[in-house]
Amino acid sequence: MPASAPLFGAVLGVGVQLYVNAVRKLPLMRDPWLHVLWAGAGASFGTWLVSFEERTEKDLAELLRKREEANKHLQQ
Amino acid sequence: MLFLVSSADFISLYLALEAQSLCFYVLAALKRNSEFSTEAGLKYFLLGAFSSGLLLFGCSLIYGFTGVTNFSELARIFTGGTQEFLVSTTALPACELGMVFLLVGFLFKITAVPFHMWSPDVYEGAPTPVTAFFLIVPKAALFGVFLRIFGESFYDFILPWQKILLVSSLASMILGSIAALSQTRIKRLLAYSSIGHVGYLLAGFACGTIEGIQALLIYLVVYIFMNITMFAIILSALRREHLQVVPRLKYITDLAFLAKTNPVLALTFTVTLFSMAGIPPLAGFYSKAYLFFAALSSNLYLVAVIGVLCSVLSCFYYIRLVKIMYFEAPKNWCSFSRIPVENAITLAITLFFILFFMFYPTPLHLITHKIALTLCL
Repeated sequence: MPASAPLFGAVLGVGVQLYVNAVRKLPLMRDPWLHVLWAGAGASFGTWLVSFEERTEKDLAELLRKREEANKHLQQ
Repeated sequence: MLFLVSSADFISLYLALEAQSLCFYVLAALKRNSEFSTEAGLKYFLLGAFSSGLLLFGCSLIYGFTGVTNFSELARIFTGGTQEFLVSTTALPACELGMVFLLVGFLFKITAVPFHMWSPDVYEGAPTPVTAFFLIVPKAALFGVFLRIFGESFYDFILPWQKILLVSSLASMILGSIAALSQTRIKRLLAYSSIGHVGYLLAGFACGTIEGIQALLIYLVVYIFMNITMFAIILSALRREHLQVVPRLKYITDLAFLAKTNPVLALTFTVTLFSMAGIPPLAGFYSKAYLFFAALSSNLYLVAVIGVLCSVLSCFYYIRLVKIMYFEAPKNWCSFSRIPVENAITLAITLFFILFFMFYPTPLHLITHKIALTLCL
């Protein structure tokens, strides 16, 4: 798995906390532990998304193969 | 709603739909002291009962002529060798009629034109969190079961239902765009905007292909995210006038305060509106473009052209809100109170989805393709 997915996720996670502070008109770096928490959540989400994509891709290939088999008699 | 989506025959479908609708009638009339809310509840109840009656009549017609209520068994009857038998009797036209009643019942529930009359009044009269719920959640459940029935059981009747869906889709797009132009209340405007979006969703379904269903599902997900953002803003923007908290945003002119008092929230609102209007590179543009390509690949050129024109027309009322926010002076001074943290987190997540979806659409593409294939296999 490429390292970029958790990295992007972490950046987006930090972005979420920055946005939350900005929209609530609070200092952007208020409660820094929340930034770390969101970075962790973002990194896990990024990792999960990549694995989800791989899994769905496999399932989809299987479904497409089944579909081709089911439609074989129509093509003949 | 979960029962509705997972129902496998007409009896469970009707029971789930009625159980859901009964809760909705109560929710719409939640504010007992409000005249508007009571009116909304009553109107929803009367018209909802009427549409449920139509749906039930359609189910009973189909059951009467086939003796079957199960979706997959119906599919087997309509596609299998029994079709000659059905053609030789009056069963096939009667089943077709039943299918039309079923379709009309569904179009009522999803507020498609010409069965949309109840929706602006109900959405406006119901309490705002309930309106948000009505605009987002039942649509997903209803489209889920709609796809299952018409994609599975009635696929062989595609010619009649495609025509009805095309007319309803075009009418919804046109009416949604034109009627929203003259609205001054935010919830009413969003109700008409929702009618327009239903038109786009139906266009995807009317394609009758895997690409069309995939486009519908992508559009539905993006629509849900955009509406969540919209209502998170409307529900969080509590104003203070003369040291008193006044009700949430009601009229579109109330937005004149937003850019002055909370520029970040105003920017979020602007991005969401641009996405709803279909301006690139936002999620709304991507979903609309995908839908129009699906329509073009199914030779539905008229739908694609009218869809693009309606999209341009809808830009007027979406951008009018942006104009009010940034260029109109507030009539009297007020300040917005700090928005709740839950709303802020919801806004952040949905906004990031709208902004970045176009740069990484693969997961949603794959899962929607899988769902579409599962429905059509």
